Amino acid sequence: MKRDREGSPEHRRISGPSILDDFRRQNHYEVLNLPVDASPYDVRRAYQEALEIYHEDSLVSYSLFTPWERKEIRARLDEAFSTLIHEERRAQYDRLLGARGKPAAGLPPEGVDPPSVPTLDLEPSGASSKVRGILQEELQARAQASGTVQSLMAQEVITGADLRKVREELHLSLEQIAQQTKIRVQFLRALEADRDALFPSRYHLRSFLKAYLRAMQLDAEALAARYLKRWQQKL
Amino acid sequence: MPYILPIGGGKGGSGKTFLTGNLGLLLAKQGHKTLLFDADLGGANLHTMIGMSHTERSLFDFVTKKVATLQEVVIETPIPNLFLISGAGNPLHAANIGYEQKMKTLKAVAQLPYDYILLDLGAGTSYNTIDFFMLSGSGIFITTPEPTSIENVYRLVRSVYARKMQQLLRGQNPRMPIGDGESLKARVLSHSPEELHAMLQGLESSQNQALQEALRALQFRLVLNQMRKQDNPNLGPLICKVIERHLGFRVTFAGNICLDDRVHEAVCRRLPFLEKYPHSSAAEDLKQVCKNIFMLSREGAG
Repeated sequence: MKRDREGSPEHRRISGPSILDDFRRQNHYEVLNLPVDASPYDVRRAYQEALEIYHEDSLVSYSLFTPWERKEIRARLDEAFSTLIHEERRAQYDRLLGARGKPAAGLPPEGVDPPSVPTLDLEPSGASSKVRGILQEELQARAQASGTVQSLMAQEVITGADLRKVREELHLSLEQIAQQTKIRVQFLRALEADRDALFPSRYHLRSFLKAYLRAMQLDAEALAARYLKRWQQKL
Repeated sequence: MPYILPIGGGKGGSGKTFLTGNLGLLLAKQGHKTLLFDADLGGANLHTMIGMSHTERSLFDFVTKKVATLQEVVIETPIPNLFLISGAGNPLHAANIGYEQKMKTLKAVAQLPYDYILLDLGAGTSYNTIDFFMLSGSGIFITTPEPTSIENVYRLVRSVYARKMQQLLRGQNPRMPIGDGESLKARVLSHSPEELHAMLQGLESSQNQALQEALRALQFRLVLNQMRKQDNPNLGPLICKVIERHLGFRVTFAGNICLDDRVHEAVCRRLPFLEKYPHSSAAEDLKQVCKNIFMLSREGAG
């Protein structure tokens, strides 16, 4: 029997365009509607909002999706969240995206990634003044005791690698500094990698640098001058 | 040209007539010559909302050619600057108005000399409702924060959008074959927005672009009505987000209107709510919604 090439309406419904088509094409960042440099806090918030929209009993999207579409959405959201919230997995995924030629606006992390932090313990910025207070005193003590910091003050010029060494000695992650200074991790990472080109202006570079140094309870003025000296030489 | 604003919602009782009547009142008070048009042919009751239980003339005097022009069935209301085309006394078969009569009415509406024309549409997604929506590139969807109402609003939103896309695609070369040679017109007849959207991808880029632009020019707004204190105030913005993401077009959130027993009371006493309780919280919400809607439309025009 000759059949319509289009097939039956049921067939068309299954194989035809779906309301989820765009969703299926999107990467983890797009699925959660996030910029590539989103902080762990942003990732969690985006996930929360997505759940509010897509979970089975949600009033927002009631009747818009079939139960199996909802299941698929949920699986994609969960996968995106669990990847992006985990620093190592996220870095891996970023490299994958970069290899596929779809990096978003030029900032896949370069070099070795900083050790992963227990991101689930992080609090939204501004909400942890108490924790920060304790941290500050402790940091001061650590910084004073640190041999690396002393030797830095003796150097005429310091580099991003020196800064990173100090930070690691103080057991601080970039995430923590980002939360306190409200400066995005990408910029902090650029400071430590001497990637000056990323900064919009010299002014930005200097003020970010000082904030970064202050967050570590270091002598911001003195160390910034040493760091910037190298930068001037390079120009 | 008047600014025509259709007001619809999928389900009965969501507040279409309430919003039409009271928006009209606000616009009239601001000095705009405003016409309320009861386009809910089978369930006309807009006249009651603004306190007129009986009207001399109604839309059907025009449809049945008792009078020659639509302007002749316009009646004055007790409120200065506010006019009404009533559906009171529509015959019982009025909901099933024929295609010719409908097109004649639609054309006549667009010619009327008013600043604003607000169309109160019936519930449901019949072509009669949808085509009144299509009369202008804008419109308001109103819903209550209940699954039944939201379900129907999604249905209405998708119907309106699909119909608009059908119109646009038909406006292109209707014989242009797509894919397997089936004519575009045939495929366009009864497809979901997703299928139509996929069809757009098959068009040449210039045509595709023109269509995308036409779709972007549509100005739809969403109003959440009868919000109780415990309801999520963020519901409306989230619905708009979902529509933009999954149905591919923009609906702007225009505001929440809180649940107010005084609305019920005013309607029962057949008094315009805004006249009776001009400073209640629901009235303040209405004013804000009105402001949002017309601020958005001015931005869109400019």
